[in-house]
Amino acid sequence: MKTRMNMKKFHIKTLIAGLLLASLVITSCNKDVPDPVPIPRPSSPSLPTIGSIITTDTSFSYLLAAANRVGLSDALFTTTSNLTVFAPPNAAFRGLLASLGLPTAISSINLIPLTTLTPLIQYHVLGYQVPAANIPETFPNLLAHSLFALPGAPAPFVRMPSFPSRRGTAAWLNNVPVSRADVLAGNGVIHVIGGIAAPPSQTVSAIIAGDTSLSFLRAAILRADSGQVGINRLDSAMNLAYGPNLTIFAPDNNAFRAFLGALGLPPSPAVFASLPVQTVRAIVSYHGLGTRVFSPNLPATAIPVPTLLTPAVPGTTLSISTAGVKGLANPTTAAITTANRNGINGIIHVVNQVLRFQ
Amino acid sequence: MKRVGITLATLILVLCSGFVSAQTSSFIGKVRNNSGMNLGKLSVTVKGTTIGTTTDDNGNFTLNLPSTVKYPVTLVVSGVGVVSQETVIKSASDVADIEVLSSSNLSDEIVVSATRTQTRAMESPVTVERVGLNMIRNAPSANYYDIIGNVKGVDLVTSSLTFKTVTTRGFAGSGNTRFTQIMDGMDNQAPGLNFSVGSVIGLTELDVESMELLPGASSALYGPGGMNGTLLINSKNPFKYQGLSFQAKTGIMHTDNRYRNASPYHNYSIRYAHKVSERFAFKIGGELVHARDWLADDQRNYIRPTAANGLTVGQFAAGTRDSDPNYNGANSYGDETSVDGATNTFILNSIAAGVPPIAGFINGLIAEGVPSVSRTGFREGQVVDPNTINGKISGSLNYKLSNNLEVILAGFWGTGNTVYTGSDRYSLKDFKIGQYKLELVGKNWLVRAYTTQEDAGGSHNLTAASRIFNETWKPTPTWLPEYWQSYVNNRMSGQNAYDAHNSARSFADRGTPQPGTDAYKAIYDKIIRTPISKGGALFLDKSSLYAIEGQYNLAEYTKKFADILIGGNFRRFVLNSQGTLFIDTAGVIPINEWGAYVQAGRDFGKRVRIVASVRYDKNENFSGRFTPRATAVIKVAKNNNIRLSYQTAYRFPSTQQQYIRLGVGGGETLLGGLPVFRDIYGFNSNPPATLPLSSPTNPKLASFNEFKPESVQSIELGYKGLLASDRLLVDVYGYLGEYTNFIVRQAYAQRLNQSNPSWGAANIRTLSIPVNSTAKVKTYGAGLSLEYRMGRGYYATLNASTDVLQDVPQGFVAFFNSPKYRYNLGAGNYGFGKDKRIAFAATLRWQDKFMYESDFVSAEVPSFFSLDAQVSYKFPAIKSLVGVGANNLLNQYYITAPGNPSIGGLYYVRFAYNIF
Repeated sequence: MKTRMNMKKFHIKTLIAGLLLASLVITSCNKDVPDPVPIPRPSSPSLPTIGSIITTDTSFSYLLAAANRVGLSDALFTTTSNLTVFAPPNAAFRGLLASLGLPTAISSINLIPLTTLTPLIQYHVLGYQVPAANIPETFPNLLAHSLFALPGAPAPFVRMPSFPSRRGTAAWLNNVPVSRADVLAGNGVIHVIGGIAAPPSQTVSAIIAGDTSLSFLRAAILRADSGQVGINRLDSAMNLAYGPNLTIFAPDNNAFRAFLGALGLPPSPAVFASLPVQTVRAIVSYHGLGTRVFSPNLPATAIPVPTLLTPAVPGTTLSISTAGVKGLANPTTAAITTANRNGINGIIHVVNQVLRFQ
Repeated sequence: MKRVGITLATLILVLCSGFVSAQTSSFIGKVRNNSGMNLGKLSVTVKGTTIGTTTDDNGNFTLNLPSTVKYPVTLVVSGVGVVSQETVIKSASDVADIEVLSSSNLSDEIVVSATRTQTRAMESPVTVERVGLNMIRNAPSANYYDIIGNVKGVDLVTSSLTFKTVTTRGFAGSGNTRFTQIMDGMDNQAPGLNFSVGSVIGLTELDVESMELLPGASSALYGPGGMNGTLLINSKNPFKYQGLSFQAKTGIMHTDNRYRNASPYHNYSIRYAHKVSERFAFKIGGELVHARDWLADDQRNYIRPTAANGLTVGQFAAGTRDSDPNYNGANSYGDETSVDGATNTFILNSIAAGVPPIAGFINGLIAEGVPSVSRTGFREGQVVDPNTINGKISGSLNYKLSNNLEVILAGFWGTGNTVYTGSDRYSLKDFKIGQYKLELVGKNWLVRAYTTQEDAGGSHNLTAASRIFNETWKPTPTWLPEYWQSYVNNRMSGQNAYDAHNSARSFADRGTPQPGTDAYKAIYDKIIRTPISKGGALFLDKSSLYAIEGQYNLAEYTKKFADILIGGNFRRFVLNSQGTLFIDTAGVIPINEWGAYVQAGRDFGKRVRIVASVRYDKNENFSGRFTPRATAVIKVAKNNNIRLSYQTAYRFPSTQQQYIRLGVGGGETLLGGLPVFRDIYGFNSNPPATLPLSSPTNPKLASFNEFKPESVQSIELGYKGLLASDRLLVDVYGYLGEYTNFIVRQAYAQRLNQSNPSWGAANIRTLSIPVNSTAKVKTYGAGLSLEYRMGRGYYATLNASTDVLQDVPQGFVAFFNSPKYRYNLGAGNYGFGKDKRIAFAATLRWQDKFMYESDFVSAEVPSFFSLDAQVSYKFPAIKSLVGVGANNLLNQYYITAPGNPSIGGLYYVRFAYNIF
């Protein structure tokens, strides 16, 4: 009997031992369903961020303070950002403060209303990388998209455009020169610029309407639009914040007086009403380009460029260069007397001749 | 249902009126073993009749013998743990004090399935695995159906707690059309699905008398289907098993809160059977399973094979929702909606056209390369009702018209919420199946008529429902431009592409109704209640099956020459999905098939028995087929037999493979293989081309041959024997199988506009059509089981098996889906200690890793093990038992197929009253 008991115990022990052995040795642990494997993020270069660069370099303290104030510093410090910053140094900000009638201490950044400062800072930043090499050396300017969303635009991605350009090693944002290009950061690139590039606030139409020295041009535009409706009116197009991107060579009143005098007409804006609409429309259209060009981007040697009249009258080009602009029928080159009056939808260069194509 | 009710009522009336006239005489006896112990729960029957009873706990029995029975009679005492014994009773006054021998229980098992006649398992001519009452009662399983999973050679694919699919010898799947399940003689398949819905419809646990598994080809006896095996589940006859029984298993799942929070498991089963008279008995039973289901939560990025990517099987790839704009999680639904790079480029160009100043910027983005983008999906846990329910009701009325003739009217009805994996994951919601039969069993013959009535209830496709949900709350034509406008904006705002995609998704998805909210339910519930034909995700499937079959054992008349058995059957499927699953928009589709078989068996000397059978089947859509089978059993020594068999089996293409028309996740349409589809889709005038295209511009056009049933030929050699002083039962087999006309789905491209010569993505649709493979697929395998009795009731078991697919042609997807090796290790005791009150069992299952191929997800299933165990204690005085048990005791999660749920530990306590 006793031996049977032992047998029984032996059997139980064998069984339990066998099972344990089997479960522990042979099988270890089950593999459950693995987690999904992410595709790695594109790695950023292991360089300091834009934020840390302008923190370290104290000549950008004002810019840093301004970025903080407008809520942009997160983007500047985030390693995964992808930005181009046209960075004005402290001196440029001091100039801005002075022009606003504020003390030039850094603390005055906080005195600038946010409604002014936010667009201004955003206007200096592109949400993507544009190293200098990517800025073409050709006419016209590159149309870049700043972080400043265009007020009243039909879609969030319509931004206030800014206009970098380059000629050799020299570069500009609009007409503000770049003093040091391609400071590479982990999350973008910095181009140091010499001054502040103020974001425009008016349309081309509004600039012309608000300048009494351009009242002849204004009258000519209105005559050209006679009988036209909607977007076909030149003035309407020039007043459209979103869409058009123009360069207007705007003859001042004296230029028009000289032009009318030469034709034996009285030197008065009222005289346009007596001229044929088509004639006036052609003359006005001949003064505009469908692209934007800042003066630093004018070619050294004259090149012909199409005008707003070219689609209707082929061949009606203007010849432009650093010397000025010349119509096909003008004997001399008209000088740009006031350059780079930048608007939301275009730029105005005031010239001292009416440009003629015939 | 109503008609069945009336029939039942009528039958009860007829039967009840019959009791009065039955004249009987009582006969009292007692059964004890050779040690003098009274033995309860043994069956006592009169040989050659259906008259019988069971002994009570003191071994006493009372047999009521009709006056038609003439002495002498032979009583057969049989049951668990004893050697069957015959005793001749000369007259009513004889004292029947019957002594039986305790058996090792290894040699006296009787199986029916192997030859359709009662045969000792030891002498079965083909491999057969039997799960008897003792095993069911002592199994460490929360559900009896799981026991099959631990039998040798078996693969169990778990799609849901209550949806498990049994397969043997390869070609496993969630829902296996090559495996037949027969319950009390009725084909258990859901007529619209072509496979049995696990144990959703079936017997209640307390009503199962035995399960017999025939691995391998078996259609020579059981008709079309059963290419790879047949499982027969038999219920308890109310004349033999009487009284009230009850069992409750209550437990806990998800104990580690990993996939769901810890939640209860309930399984209640009740059975009541009563012998009203010697002629009439009835039984009624029910079972309810309720739990929070296992969760399929594989979030890996899955690339389905498409016309564009040229894959023959899908594959996992790197990528998450955050890191891949075109992410498609395996168990994430709705993200199958994907828009390709070309369309996205078109959207970007449209944005540029509307906003000329940014055209240059957008051109820069396009130059970077425009990816495909998918809609945002929902995890399975968010969209599926976590409650899985399985309710079953069954009953039967048994009436003996004479001592040798019993009429049985039985009904089995089940409903459930479960999840099934097909080409997508499907929520089978409020699914209902009823099976009703009327059967006449004579001494040598039987006739059986039955019907299966299926109602898919609120069943729906999770992928389709989530895709439609996305289209409903925000159509892709609206969502996509929002996405890309936001993307452009994000890129302009200084985000890199990675972040810009995620921000764009958040923007386009803003305000998505979240699962669980009323806003979500308002949309989602409407989709899953709207039929597919009306733009929803609901299946309307009320398909049914009607069958009548008969069998006559002529052995009595022919035994001088041979034991001859003949039989035949007729089946009619009626497909009714109202166009949501089948091409039955114009009305129901009937499919008729019939078959007949003859089997002859003869002993040659004392050592050899040869059984040969042949079967002929015809389906109205296919030409007829003969399937022969020949077996031999050679008795090497007492209780040592060698078996050899040659079998053929085949199956007609399933009802779905004949008539399905269903759009699935990858944007393709599944079609049936019958010629009718070639006319509907105009293949004669606009022939499709096989995918992947042989040439992008001028691919070879496909031609279609006759669509044939697939078949398998197999040979098997086996040995079963008792060794080591009858303590060790050994069973070993090896088989070879060759499949011809293997039915596979092949993808085709058909041009939408035939006058347009382009085979580009915009001008083609993808059709998936079942065809016969010209490749011959070969399989082989082997299995071994050892069962050792150590005395005092202790036993240990080991089984191991292997299945291998060979000669697979290049690029051929066989869906073999079986591990090369698997084993089960078990130990237990059916009763020890004082009065043998304690019982326990433990089983360890291990299977190897293998590549699993399916229309849903194809990927490797890692090797896994699972340890099940239970201990119980009997209280004989109150006929009760309490116990504790665990499935997957160590809570080691495993999957049985990719995209199927991770199965963890289930721990339960058990109370049972009067279980046989």
